[in-house]
Amino acid sequence: MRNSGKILAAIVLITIITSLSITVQPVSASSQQNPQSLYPCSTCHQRLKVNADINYSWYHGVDLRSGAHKGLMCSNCHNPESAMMELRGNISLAILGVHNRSQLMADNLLCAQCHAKIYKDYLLGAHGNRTFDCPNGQAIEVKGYKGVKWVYHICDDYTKLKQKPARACVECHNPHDPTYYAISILPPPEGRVPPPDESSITYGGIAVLVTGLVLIAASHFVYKKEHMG
Amino acid sequence: MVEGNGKKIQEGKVDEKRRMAIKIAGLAALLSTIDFAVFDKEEFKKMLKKVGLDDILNVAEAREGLGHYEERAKKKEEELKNLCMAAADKICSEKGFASADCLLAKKKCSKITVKATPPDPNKRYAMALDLDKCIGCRRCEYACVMENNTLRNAGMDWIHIYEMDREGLSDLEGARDDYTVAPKKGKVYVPVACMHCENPPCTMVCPVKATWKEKDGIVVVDYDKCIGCKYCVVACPYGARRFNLFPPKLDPLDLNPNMHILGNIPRPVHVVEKCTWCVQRTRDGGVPACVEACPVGARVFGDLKDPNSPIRRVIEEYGVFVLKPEAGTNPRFFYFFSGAKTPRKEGGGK
Repeated sequence: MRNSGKILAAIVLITIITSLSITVQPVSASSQQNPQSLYPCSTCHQRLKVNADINYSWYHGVDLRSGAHKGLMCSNCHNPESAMMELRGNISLAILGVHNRSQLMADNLLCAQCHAKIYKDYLLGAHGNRTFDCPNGQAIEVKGYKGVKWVYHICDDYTKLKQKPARACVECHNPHDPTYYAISILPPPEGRVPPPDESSITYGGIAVLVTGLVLIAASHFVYKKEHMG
Repeated sequence: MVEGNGKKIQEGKVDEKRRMAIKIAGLAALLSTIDFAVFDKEEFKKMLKKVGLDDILNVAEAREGLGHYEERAKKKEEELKNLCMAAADKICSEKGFASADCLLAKKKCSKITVKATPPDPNKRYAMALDLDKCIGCRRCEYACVMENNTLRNAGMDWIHIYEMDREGLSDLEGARDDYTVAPKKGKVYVPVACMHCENPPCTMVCPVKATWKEKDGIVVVDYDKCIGCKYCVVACPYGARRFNLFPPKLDPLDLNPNMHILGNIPRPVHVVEKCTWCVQRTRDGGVPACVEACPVGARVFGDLKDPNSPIRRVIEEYGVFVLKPEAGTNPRFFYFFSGAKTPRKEGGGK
């Protein structure tokens, strides 16, 4: 009876541990990847105010201790209500939640506070990518030359093309790591004439020099023979 | 007197020797100056001076093209539509009439437009490229091929990107366009296509006047007039012109229906072609394909005569330079360094 009771307890323990490990492991893994998926923002931010003196948040996956925005604090941009807001011309700085397009364009002013030169470039069309649109037009994405993605503009009238306004800053730059990193390159297109081999040029030059010297020596030899003998 | 005469005779003899020595020294000095002018890289670097706005706006009058382009464009449009529809029917019979390829091919064929938009004399186009941003990814090359109905796999692509040392931009000898790893440290990537020069040497040598500079600054080729003598290919200091050795292929799936008679219309065999700054797009308000495709936004295109255009901003804010200024061609394709460098990959040179 004692033994059977011990075995039963052991079995119960093992089942509890295994079930725990099964349930706990995936949750901990997913919470490390994307903690926001577990809770909606409002559960915390109804009461929690944005902290002014931190530049690193494990929970949000944001680290401002390195990168191009090194030295900034969270509150430099995420600052719902304070005296600083009036200094900045009442620009809304609370960038929480999903923004629509007009809100994103309004957020450009926040970037412009520091990057005035680039912002002027952007306004004049010298910074950022440009594309165009046509009335009743369609942009068909195809796999073009060598499988590279390309968009064909299919229009009824190709004489009325209109340039689209540029996208907002944060649509291209991640504000927490604004550096624009290089993407992978494509191979050189086929059928090109290869550049000349540099070793062949040097060998050719040496060959020309040697031949010239031989010719000079030979002419000298012939001249001597004619005059002496 | 005798002594004096003797001295004079001696002096005369010495003078002749001296004359020879002076002649040789003079010749050597001359040679050394030629040497200096040809081989000194510092002199070349001094030539890479900034281009002022006054130099750019003080433009020469452009030559006008001849011929009735609208009529010819309409004829070409009908021809191409018939050819394209025949090719589309072939695709449809092979892949089925309800397949996506068939529908796309028919749609493209029905939308083929060959334009003959004339140049606007109040505009003067120019392009600039930021060498700090460019990563040499070749997306503009591929975009150019697809936009301009260029022959595939034939070495006909109009843009070549050359990898050069950042410190020796004037040294074009070591430039390579067959690199496979980019962007490397200490290197810049210099895309080279037609520079649309103010004094284009290619148009001067054409024996049949098949190529000329239009009033908006775009150098175009009339493919029907070109006799394929390749004088212009040799005359171009930038190697921007390509000779079409193969007959055109009309695949409706690869076809760009937006065409210009002097631009991206499928070229006949044995004519010379080159970059036209996407004349089919830019003259009707669009942007060139390379500008649209650039993933880092390194290319800037605009109108030099408009003070609020992007190109004017770049020239006034950053200052620009051109390739091979000693050729005297006054290119309208500028390069500049904005200072915002795209991070380079490790393990490449300096």
